[in-house]
Amino acid sequence: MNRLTTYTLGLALLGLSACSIPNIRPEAKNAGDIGQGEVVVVGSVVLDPAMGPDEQVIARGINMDQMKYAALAFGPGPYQGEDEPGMGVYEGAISVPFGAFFFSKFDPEPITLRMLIYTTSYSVQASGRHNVSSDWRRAFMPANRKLDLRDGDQVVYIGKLVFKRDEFNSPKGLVVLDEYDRALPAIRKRFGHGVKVRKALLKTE
Amino acid sequence: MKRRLSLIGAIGLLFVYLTGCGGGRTLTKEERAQGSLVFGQIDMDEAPSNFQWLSTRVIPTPKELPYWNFGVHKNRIFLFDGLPKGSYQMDSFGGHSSFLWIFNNQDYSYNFPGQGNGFRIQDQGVYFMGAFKYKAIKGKGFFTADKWDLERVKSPTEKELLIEVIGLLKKMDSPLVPLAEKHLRSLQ
Repeated sequence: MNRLTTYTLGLALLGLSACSIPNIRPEAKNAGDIGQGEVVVVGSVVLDPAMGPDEQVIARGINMDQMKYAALAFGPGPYQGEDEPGMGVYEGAISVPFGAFFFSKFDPEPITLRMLIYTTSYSVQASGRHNVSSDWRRAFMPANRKLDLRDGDQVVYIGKLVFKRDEFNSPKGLVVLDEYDRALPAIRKRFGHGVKVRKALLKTE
Repeated sequence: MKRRLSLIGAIGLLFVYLTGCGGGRTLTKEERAQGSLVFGQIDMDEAPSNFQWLSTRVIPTPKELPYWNFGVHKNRIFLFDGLPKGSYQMDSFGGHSSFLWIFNNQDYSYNFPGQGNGFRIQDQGVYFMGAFKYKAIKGKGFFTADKWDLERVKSPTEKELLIEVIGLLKKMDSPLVPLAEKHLRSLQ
């Protein structure tokens, strides 16, 4: 994710929450982007049934594709907070379009994927000259799966994360598919053949 | 489950409903006769407003006519006589506060979250959504929004509320009175 993308998403989050901007996890664009002691986590996230083209209802004039992205939230252990987490949950999150590979930088230590968050609708209401309020509704899909990241890792493939749901966006479970054969060419294209790649599919916490 | 309390100017929201941008539609009596009776109750004694409207969203949401609006009666009973088959998700409800029993000084809209709170109408019938009580959860600071919750309560029962609803349906000349009365007998 480039700086502008991060900034616009952050700005949106700031505007929506009136609090500080969370730091979205940086993306590695090439092999030179992988710093000493950093590991790039690769995977993808989809919904089952898939997100419909017009399913996310975003207010007209809100020209931010990021509002439609999937956000993967991480933490040191399983999430045990409120049903509807505050903005702090986005700290260190991955923001990526559904179905696309993410290439996000982590420290080489165990960390837990806590949940998937996505926007179901975002609208703005105005009443009078000075009263404008937003209505941001999101779905939260629990994951609580551990990433097995180790010292010496450079690139780790964690799988295709399939979040199952019903028509009301109620969570119906997470399935991790092994699409390593499809991911490896994308990894080689981005980082070349000089990086070490390891497959470590997400585990149950 | 805690919900955010949005002090939205419901005038704007109602304007949207009334102009048809997000609004429901009016069914003919023949169409209502083919649909289902859906009803329930929200006790708003602890809410900062009364209870004037409730809206559901059609799932999957069409671009045209995405919302269906329930009728609200006696400041607590919500009902829809003639809801077509399909999936619906609770979207929002609201009302207004009053000052000295005369002035409407604040409109309130309470938004349901983006997931859950859905129901399916697969066959024509009578669907009791439940009896709920609005519970206020105060925010912790100036910038922390108040929250709310709908707590399921045991009273009134489906039967008790349905007796009241049938009275309302008769006043409305609803074609679903026989269906409701048949269902009431099954609850005896």
